[in-house]
Amino acid sequence: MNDTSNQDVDVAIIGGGFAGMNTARLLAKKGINCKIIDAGNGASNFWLGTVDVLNYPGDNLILELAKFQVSLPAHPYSHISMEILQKSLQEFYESFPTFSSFQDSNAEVCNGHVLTSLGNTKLTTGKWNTIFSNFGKLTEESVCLLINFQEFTNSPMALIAKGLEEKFQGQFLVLTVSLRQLFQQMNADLMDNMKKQVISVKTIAKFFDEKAIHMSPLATLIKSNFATKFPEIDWKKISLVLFPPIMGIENCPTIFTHLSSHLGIECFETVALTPSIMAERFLRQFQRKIQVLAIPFAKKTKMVDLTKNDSEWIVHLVDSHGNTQKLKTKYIVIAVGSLFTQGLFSESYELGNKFHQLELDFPDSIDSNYEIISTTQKSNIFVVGASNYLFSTDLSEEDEVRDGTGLGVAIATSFKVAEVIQARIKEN
Amino acid sequence: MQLIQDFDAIIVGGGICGTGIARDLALRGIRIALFEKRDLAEGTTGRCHGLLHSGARYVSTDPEVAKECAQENLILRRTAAHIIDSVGGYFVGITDEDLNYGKKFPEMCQNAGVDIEEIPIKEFLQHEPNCNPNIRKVFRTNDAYVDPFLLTLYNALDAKNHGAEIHTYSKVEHLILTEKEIVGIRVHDLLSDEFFNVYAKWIINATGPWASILERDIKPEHPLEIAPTRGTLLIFKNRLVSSVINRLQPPSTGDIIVPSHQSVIVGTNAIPIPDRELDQPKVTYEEIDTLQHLGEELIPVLKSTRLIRYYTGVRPLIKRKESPYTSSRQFSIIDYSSEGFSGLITVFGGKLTTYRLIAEKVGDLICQKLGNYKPCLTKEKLLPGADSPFTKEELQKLFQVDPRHAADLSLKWGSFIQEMGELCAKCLDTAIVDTQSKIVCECEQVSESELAWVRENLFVKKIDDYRRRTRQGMGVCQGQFCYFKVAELELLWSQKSHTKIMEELKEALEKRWKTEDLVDEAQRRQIKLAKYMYILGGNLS
Repeated sequence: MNDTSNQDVDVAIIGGGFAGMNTARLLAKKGINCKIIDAGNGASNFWLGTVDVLNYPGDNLILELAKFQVSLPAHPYSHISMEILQKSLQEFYESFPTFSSFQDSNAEVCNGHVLTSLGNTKLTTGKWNTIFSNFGKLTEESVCLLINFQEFTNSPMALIAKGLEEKFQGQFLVLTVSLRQLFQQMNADLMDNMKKQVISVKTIAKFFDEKAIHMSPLATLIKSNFATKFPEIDWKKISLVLFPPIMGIENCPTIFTHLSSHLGIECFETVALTPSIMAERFLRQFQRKIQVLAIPFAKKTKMVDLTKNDSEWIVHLVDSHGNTQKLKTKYIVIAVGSLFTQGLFSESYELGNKFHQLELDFPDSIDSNYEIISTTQKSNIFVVGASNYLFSTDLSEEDEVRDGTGLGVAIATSFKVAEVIQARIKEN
Repeated sequence: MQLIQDFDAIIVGGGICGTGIARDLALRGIRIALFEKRDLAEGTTGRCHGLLHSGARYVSTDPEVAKECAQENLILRRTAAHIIDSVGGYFVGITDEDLNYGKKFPEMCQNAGVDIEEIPIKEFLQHEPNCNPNIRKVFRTNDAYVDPFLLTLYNALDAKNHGAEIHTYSKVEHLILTEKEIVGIRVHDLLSDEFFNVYAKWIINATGPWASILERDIKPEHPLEIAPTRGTLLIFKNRLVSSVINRLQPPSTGDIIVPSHQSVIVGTNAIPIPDRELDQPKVTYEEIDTLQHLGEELIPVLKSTRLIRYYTGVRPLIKRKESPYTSSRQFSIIDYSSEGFSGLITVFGGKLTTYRLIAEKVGDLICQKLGNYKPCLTKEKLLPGADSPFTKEELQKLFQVDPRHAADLSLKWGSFIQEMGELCAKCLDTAIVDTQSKIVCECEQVSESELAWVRENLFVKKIDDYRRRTRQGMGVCQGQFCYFKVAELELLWSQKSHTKIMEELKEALEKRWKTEDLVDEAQRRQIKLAKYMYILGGNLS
């Protein structure tokens, strides 16, 4: 075991999920020297492809925020101003243009339906709303086709079809297509691999990425399978085709443009219940930004202790090889999420107690700094994203699961915290 | 449901006792129907160790029961060979107290006719390297593991094959009486929410710890003396031992560890409970802690092993003044003729291991009452599936699984494997050419064709019923990654609406998540993830 020498950064960010990476990105853009410490159990890997900016029904952002302040005053959303929320979203969509499809044309409207993998519907924003507006157009004669890949069993398409059938007009048919058959035509190597082992979701996605502009074999396969399975139904009657969420990581929009044009029907993806490449798509875009901004990212590294030296914090780290390191820093951002607290609380109660002696700054007024304070003085330790739940005694697990701490909370709180840190650095 | 017809006998209760009696009577050609308010083996039967006792556990407190266990053990090994894992067992002593008990142990075993053999500690530790190296005395016994769910289900299946009617989710509301005669029962079909009467010459109350409830309808002068006694068990990830490990002591808390499929089960304790807690017995943190500590004395590595789940079952013990540990595991058959009532028999007590003997005695009594003297056949006749088991190699080829899972498969299905192999092809989309069976539950490697087969043959009514029959959802992830796939299959195979399927899915998942508060940190995170996934991603509120 090595004990390497002390290193200095302005901001140490504990946790490399969406909230942590977004904070790092915002700080680094302003030339602030920061480092991400990631233990590698991120909840972000389980992101399901929804932007729950406010995971609540309704159509007015201002009203929704006010509702949170009344019903759940401890919720991280209740402590943010409308101005910050809107600014954070604007910045986010500008930086990630591929996600602007989640943004509604009316900036104040942010909730729509999302089709979940159990065939239930829930309310969220953007792209999914588009599918639902399409469902709204269906008539009794319309047919909607759900594609089921024989080798990908994590999207229960029949369940989704049945759920939709109970809510919308039209017929919802499930058509099974064999990836094996597709690979046979398009990629002999994959075909050989498939005989030996189960092909991973990522491999399938990579295959679609590579063939993004060659979607005609898949379209042909779908059409011919359809003719065999539903000989009595006219292809022209189909209004929508839904696919499982494994259609590429990098080139998803291209794939759907081509599929739609080959099939002559609008195509969409559904959400999967298991860790899917929905998260992978977004994480990759984020990681690329992190690389461009040259932000150090320590993987599989845990914070095991935290000590104070004058006005500076010393973060004690251990990596997967058992090497220890001390990181001297002025500011700390806790972005460990709440579901996967490994390395912070579960394995180190002492460390946990250290934080519990402090209190999270949730003053009565909105626009809190999301800072942990020790009653009198500023701690310069901030909490972003779902980690807010860790420090709140007023919020239960049920609140968290019900009201969500998705991307919306991560984006808004990290934006606010980045602003505060930036201002403090300027002051000094 | 139209069921208004006569039976010779009606059995109330679908545990091992009720289904055992159903089979015994059906094999004798007696017309019977069985009613169970939940699923088969969902009550006391499904919440045990799954230990097929050698008898040695009870030599000090209950030599009679020990003898019965020893004899029944040998019968079941033959008649239910496919669901019995002949792992063998050890009684191990660590403390001076244990060794003192060990001095009397061989003699007590001999008196009860239970075979044991002392073996060198070195040899024992070679077999069981995870056990405490400070163990000072070891006896080998004839213990085994039996799948309690499938034992119940195969009894029910054989009863059905011989003309019996098996009704699950059918709650018996009350007895139907005329003067001093019990002539039938009022049934509430919980799935269709319909009520109906069923009439028979004899009603057999085999509801275990719930027995007093049914008996109250006749207000007997001497009511049953049952002491419902809870026993908690812990399931740990990994099969840490290859045999049953018993503490060399009289029966007490945390004295048995049983290897069960890919996990070990540690238990149990004995806590008397009031009748009102029968349906919702609660486990405390202290209990779990105590059991885990006692388990660690036998297998130190348990300390760092993930506790997947705990459960508690209620034994129908016969009331006695002494401690629940010395309460008899003997069984009782009560005929209410002495009270002036005819038409009702209550059976309770006993062990999973001795269920066949209980059924035989009840069968004899009912035959005598009916004036039908056909002999009991269960001593010789094999349970369904117990003939011609497949080899591991054949199984590996048929299901494309590794040897470990092939062993698990053979432990569930015996000769029914053949039918499942044929189902593989059938349950797949006909447009697709593929002979492999899809794996639905990754943790326990349960395939689609197994689910399809149990649905056709083993009385599946709800989504959660698959689990008890196949072990789907019983692994480390506790159903997180397979319940939605099972929901989809149930939707395809049944006529149920989406709303109904969602209700059943929610009910099944909530049962899995119930233990969240008391399991260890890693498992708590796993359950949280599952909740997060289903509630946020699946909008399952």
